[in-house]
Amino acid sequence: MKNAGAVAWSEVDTQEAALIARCNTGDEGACADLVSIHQRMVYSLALHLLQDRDEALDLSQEVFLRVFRTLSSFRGQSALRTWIYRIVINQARNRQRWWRRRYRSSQVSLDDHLQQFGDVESKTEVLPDRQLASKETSARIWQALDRLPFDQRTALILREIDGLRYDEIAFSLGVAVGTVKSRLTRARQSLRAELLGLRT
Amino acid sequence: MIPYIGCEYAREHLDAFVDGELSVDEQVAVESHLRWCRTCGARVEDVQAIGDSIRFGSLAPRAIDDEARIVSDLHSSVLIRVRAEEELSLGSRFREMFTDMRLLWPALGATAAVTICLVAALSVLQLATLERPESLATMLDTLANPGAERNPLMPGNNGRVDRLTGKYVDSDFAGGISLPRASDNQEMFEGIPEQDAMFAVATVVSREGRIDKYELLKSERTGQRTERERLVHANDVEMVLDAVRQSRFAPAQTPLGRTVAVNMVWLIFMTTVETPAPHTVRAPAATVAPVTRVPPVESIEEAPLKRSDRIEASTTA
Repeated sequence: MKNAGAVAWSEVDTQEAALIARCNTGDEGACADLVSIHQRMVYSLALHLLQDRDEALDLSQEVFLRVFRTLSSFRGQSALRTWIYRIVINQARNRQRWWRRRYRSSQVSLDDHLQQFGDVESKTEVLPDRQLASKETSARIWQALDRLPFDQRTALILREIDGLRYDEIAFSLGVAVGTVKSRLTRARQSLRAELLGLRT
Repeated sequence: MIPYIGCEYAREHLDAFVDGELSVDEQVAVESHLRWCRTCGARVEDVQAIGDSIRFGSLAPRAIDDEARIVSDLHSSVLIRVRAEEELSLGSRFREMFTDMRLLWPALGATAAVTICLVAALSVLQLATLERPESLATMLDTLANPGAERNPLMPGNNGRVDRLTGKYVDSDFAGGISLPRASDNQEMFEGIPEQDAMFAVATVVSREGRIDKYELLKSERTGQRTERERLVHANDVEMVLDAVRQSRFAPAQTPLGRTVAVNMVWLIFMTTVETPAPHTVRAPAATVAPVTRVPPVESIEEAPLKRSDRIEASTTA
């Protein structure tokens, strides 16, 4: 199941290269375009990794600042989108360490979050027979997901929500493809144990 | 023909199968396995259910709708910060370098480790040079510094004739190196019992005039027939060596005035001088003017029969 948004670098090479070149010359319009194209993706990933809207928004700004600071060093070794994913993950990893140390006691569980913001309506394409997955099951899975190590959780989110390929996840995390496979397997094993616990 | 695969192989590839990351052959093989293996099929359903639950509970759709206005303003706030950053001072840019602590700490650790290794390596080299007298560096250093404590010279004429050219090679050693001169009155020898004895001590007199090394070459004493006399002699040897250790000299010098360490063999004689018998003392002739320095005969007679004196001589080795 490939995500339609996960296009290869060669497909947008010309467009992205032109956009990057304009950004590097200080063209504010190009910078605004780049932010507009990727802001939802950046914010979404930051939100799923940090589970906090304010933190995610703040992180998104930091990510784009870093993107513009280091864009001149981007050599097209991956798609721009994957390169930005990598920055998001690194920033989120740093921030989460700091944030969890200080605000661990004030973290809000997903149940509370859902209670506060209402029911969740998925707009992603879910198979009809999978729509039976209850809200409670989803909440428990997300709780278990939040307890996973950062690298396993990130790999699974990139795969299941952002639909990245293994090689794109590997580049975003800065690891080998084999490591991505093992992290996904371990993460799913942990969540499967949670799922089996719900059924019994 | 579809290859048969077992559950063990299939389970290793179930995640990649669900994610669509298998090659066509592997995909077909796993699919054929799933047609008859209910256990692996259940695992696949679980993996798919997990993915569905994650997507179902995703915060993004709802939250992004809520934050649509904020997110739409994101680029403007980013651009403002980018513009402001261009005017940042050098100090601010330097601080920005340390925002990514994930890379900073390993970098600092690696730098510290490299520094420690370099310091350790240099320390080992330094210690090896200084502490190991048999090392080549120490030998070269010793040969390059004649007159140092490790390479003492011999007093005397040290000029030499070059074997190849046949010419006299002059140096600041040529012309002779003076003997070290005692700078104290050797009073420390006064405590040694007055008895005929001889001690030969090989020493190295340092550039500061101290005894750097010494070795007792020989000691003799008249008597020593009884055990007590031998013990007394051993005690005297200790006293002599102690006196040697405490001796101070005006250091030996080359003709150019450079102080150098030299080898010296120190001979210490303690001899008994007997005064002549009274009948052998002749009165001065009447025609000779009296010598006032010669003590009167009576006084000589009143003197002890024996008087120990110390005669010290030095030679070089």
